[in-house]
Amino acid sequence: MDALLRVHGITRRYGSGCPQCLDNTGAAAGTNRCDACGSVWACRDVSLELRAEEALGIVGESGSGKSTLVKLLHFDDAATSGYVELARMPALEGVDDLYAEGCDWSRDVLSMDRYRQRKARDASMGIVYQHPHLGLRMGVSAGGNVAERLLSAGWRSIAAMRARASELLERTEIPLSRMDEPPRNFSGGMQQRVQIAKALSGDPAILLLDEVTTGLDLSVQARVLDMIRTLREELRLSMLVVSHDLGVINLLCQRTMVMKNGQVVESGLTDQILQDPQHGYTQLLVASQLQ
Amino acid sequence: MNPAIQMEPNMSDPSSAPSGRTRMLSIRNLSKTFKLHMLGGVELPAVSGVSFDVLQGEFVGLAGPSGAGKSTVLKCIHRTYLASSGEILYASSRQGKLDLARLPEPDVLELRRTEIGFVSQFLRVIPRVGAQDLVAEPIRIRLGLDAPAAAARAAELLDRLRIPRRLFFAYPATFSGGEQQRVNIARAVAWEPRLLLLDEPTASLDAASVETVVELFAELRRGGATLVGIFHDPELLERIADRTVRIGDPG
Repeated sequence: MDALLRVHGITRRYGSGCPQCLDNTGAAAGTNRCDACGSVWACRDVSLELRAEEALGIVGESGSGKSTLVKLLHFDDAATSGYVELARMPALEGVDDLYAEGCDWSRDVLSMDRYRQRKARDASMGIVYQHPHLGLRMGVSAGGNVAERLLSAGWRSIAAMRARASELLERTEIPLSRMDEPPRNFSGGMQQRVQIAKALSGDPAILLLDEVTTGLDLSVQARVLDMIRTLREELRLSMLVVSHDLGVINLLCQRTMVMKNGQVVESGLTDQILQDPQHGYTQLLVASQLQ
Repeated sequence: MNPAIQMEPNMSDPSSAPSGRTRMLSIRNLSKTFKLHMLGGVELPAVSGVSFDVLQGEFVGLAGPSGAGKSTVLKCIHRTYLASSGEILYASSRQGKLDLARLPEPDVLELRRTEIGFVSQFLRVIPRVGAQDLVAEPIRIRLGLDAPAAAARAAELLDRLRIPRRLFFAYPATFSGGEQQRVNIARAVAWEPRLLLLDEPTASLDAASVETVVELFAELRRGGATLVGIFHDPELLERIADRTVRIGDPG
């Protein structure tokens, strides 16, 4: 399977940084905040490759930097350093000067202007956040939320947008009778399903999932996870799955990266991470799992 | 170098076995030690210096006392465990000789998808998927059959393994241990892997089921598959394996 996304040494630092930062922060130091200068290294020197049709898990406790990583990849936040490349794919051919002539990989998307970043992102990625209010406008109808995304992708026909929105909402099991209601009227599980519909509206090759089932009741969580598994197979999606829950990672992901204090401490096949964890932190994580 | 001088057959080359058959697996000096960080970094050696070959089409049993590390060896081959040292050379059908101990993860996943299967002692599968769908899934995805054909093939296997038809749509989590294990085996043999690793697959089965499973393994072998397995029953091992490799013995 070919790679779709390559991330090289992506880093997000809040604060000015100082010469002692590298020693004072990270998994070995047990903190992401530098005592000397107060800078926080939310995400430090993370590299990864996401392949076509694979689900890569990112697991770690709160503050490990896993959500920051997703935000950086979705340009919700700007990286301090590092670079990101997207593979050549038909959906991205319309983005001006994304690829150098004859190259299979794009130029660094992190250093592009906002306009082209957004264009490249909307043509290749969808995102689902833990908190529905980050991904949805809670006062706008469910159908309108999906249409908004289509509008920014250049759709103009109201009838076509409505048809596409109902198709996506149907796929994510939102009754069409409720399409015109705002998500604030919906349960948590339904809100997540509207977010998924919205994320899929641009036919993304890559889906970013940030703690999408955290905080949902178990039965609701199961339904959302089953839906994600089905969609992944049917739409041949690549997914980056961020979760603190090893059960979710085990269900969805073939490969897993473990983060702590902003750094990747271990990565491997998911069954190997669970059955033969190498790093002390991963061993603690696996041993702490219920059941 | 004089081309007339014949080289000695290289023992670490899995592609040329003395008998002329391909060496499917060539395990060289495999060691595995677990380091337990939560217990102050104590090291537990599981196996050390294991070496053996498996020829293409062979059925090799791993024997040895409980705790000797038989399961560890199988899991190292499957890469569920990371070998601490040594080589696990595998003659893949597309890429030639590969060291499973060091192969990049995406390549291991590709081998698991196309060539190498594993049957554990217990069914560990996706929750909320019915028995027939569980067995049909690898047939659909790996052999490329369409959904009705895959479902029919899955039903045929489950029938042979005497899973009642009324359970086909039920979730195996609710099944008895023996039923679960029969689903597990059906799922593992359904896609006809080229190398199948068996970790006590028959431990929870009744005698009649064991006979069916033995038949299924024999059918896989007639299709050219290679099998490496652990069996708790020495008589069964004696009967179905071509030969036995002892794990845990010095040398």
